[in-house]
Amino acid sequence: MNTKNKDINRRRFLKVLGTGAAVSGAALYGCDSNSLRSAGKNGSGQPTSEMTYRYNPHTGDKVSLLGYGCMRWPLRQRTDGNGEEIDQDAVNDLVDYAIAHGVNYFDTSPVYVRGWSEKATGIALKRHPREKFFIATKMSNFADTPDVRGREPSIALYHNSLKDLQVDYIDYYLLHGIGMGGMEAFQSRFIDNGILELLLSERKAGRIRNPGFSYHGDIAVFDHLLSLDIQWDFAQIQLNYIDWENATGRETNAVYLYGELVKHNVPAVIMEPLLGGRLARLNQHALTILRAERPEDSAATWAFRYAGSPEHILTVLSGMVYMEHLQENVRTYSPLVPVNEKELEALGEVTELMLRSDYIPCTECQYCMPCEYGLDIPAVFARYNRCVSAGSVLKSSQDENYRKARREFLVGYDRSVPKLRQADHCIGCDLCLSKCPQRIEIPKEMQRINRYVELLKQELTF
Amino acid sequence: MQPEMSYERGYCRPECTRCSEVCPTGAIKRITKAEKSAIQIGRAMWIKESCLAYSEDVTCDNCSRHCPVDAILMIPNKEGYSDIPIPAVDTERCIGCGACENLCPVRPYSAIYVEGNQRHRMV
Repeated sequence: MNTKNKDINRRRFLKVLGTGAAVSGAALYGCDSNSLRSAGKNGSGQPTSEMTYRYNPHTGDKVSLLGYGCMRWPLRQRTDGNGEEIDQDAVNDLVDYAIAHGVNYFDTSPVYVRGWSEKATGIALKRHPREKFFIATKMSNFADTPDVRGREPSIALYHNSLKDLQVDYIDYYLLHGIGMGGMEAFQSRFIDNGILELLLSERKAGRIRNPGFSYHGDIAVFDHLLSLDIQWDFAQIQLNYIDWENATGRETNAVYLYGELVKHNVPAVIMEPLLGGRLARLNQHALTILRAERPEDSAATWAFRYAGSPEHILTVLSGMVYMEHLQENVRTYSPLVPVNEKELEALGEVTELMLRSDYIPCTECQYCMPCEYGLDIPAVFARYNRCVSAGSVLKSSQDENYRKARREFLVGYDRSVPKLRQADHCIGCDLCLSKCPQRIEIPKEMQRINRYVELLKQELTF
Repeated sequence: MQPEMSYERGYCRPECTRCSEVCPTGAIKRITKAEKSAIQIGRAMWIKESCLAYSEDVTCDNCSRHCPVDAILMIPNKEGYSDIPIPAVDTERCIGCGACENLCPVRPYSAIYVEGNQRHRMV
C-alpha cells in the first residue's frame, strides 16, 4: 500500500471519530456529547469511577465502554477428576471487580465455554442488583438441522437463556452470527421458523429490551437486516485497526460496517478488538513503533483505545480470563483517551507490518470445533501465530537463531497441543471449511504448519 | 524384557537414532540417519475394509503424505464405487516406521498397521 493511500485511511478514521484534524487531543475526551466521566481515584490508583460511558440513543442506557465478553471464563479441574468445569469463584471475583469499577455490560451466548457460560455468568451476576448490569445473550441456533433451527428448539434456547441467567428480561438480545451460511441460513434460522417475529413481540412484552444482531461473513445478510423496517437497537461487529480496512477472508472491512450502522442510527458493539489476541502480542519491531509514542502503554491498550475511539460505539467487548487483563482494560477506559492523528499514523505502520507477516487470521472463536478427527485447530494456529509474533518463524535453516528457534517451536508445540491433536492428524476432510468465519483454509494451513514442523524435527535444510 | 515398538502414541521418527546410541551392550547396532532410512523393521499392512478412502467415501491420504520413504502411493480405486484414490503400500520400500499407523484417523484400530519383521533387513 502506498503512503498516499494510508493518509486517506487515517483521514477517514479521524472523520468517523467526529473530530477534524484541527481539534486538539485534549478536547477529544470527556467533552463530547456522547460520553461522560466523573472524577475520583481510589487509594491504590485504580480508578473506580472514571469509566467512560456511552448512551444508547434508543433506550438511553448508559453503557460502560468496556464490555465483558463471557466467551472464555477460567476453567479448573473437577475435584472428581472428570474433566474440567468453570472456576466459579474466579468468575465471581472477576465480575465483582468489573462491576465495582464501572463495567456494566456482559455479553454471553448459550454456546460459549462449551455451553456453560450463561449459567456461570448468571450465578456471578445474581449477586448484584439487577439494575447494575446489562446482559446480552444470543439466539445461537447455528447447526443446520431441524432439532436446532426449528421453532420449538429455538424458543427453548431463548427460554433456557432466561433460566440460566436467572433473569426475567434480557437487556440485549442478538441474532447470533448473521451472515454465516449466507441468506439461506438467515432465512431458515430466523424467518421460516418465525423466530424474528417472536423476538420482536418479546420486545413489546418487555422481556427483550434491545434487539440486535452480530455479524460475520456474507455482507448481503448485514445489508438486508439494515434495510428491514426494524429499528435495531444495536449491532455487533468486528472492529480493530487491522480490520478497519484490511479484513480477511469473507469478513467485511469495519469502515463499511461502522459507516452503515451510523447511517442507520444503530449503535455498534465491538468484538475482536484484539483480533483474537494477536494485537496484544505484537512483534518487537511493531511494539517499538508504539512505544516511541507512549512508552508505558501495552499493545493491548493501543488496540482498545483504537476500538473505543469512534463515538457511535456503545461498548467494546473483551473476553477477560485474568484479573490483570481486566485491570488493564479498566485503566484504558477510565477514561478513554481517544487516539490522535499522530498515533493513528503509528498504528498505520503497525498495520503494514502485520499485513506483511504470515499470521493465520484465527481469532480462536472455536466455531470449527470439535474437529471430527480430534485436532485442536485453534490451539495449533495459536501456537504458530505466537511464533510469528515473536519473530521466531524460521525462513531458512541457515538463520542465525536456528537452533534456539527450532527448539522453542518444537517444545512449545508439544506443550500447548497434545500429540494426538496436532496438525499431522489433519486428513483434509474439509468439514471445518464452512464453519470458519474468517474463511481460513484450515486444512491447507494445517499442512503448511505440519510441513514446517517436519522441517524442524528432521533438521532438514530449507 | 526386550524393547517393543508400539505406534499408538507416536512412531519411529526418521531423524532419531537415539536407541542405537544409548544401548550399552550393542544389542541395538549403532546406525546413522541415512542407514536408518534403508533398514526395514517391519512392513505396513492395509486393511481396506476399515480405510476411510476405500469404504467411507472420505478423501484421506494421511498415510501416504506422511510416509518418510514414499512407500505409500495413492492409486485409483478400481474395484470400488467412488473416485477417491486409495493407498497402496510398496513393501519393498517400506521401513516399518509406523507413521502411517500412528497418523491413520481410523479408530480404535488403524486401517494401516505395521507387521514387525523377525529380522531387520536392508531395503
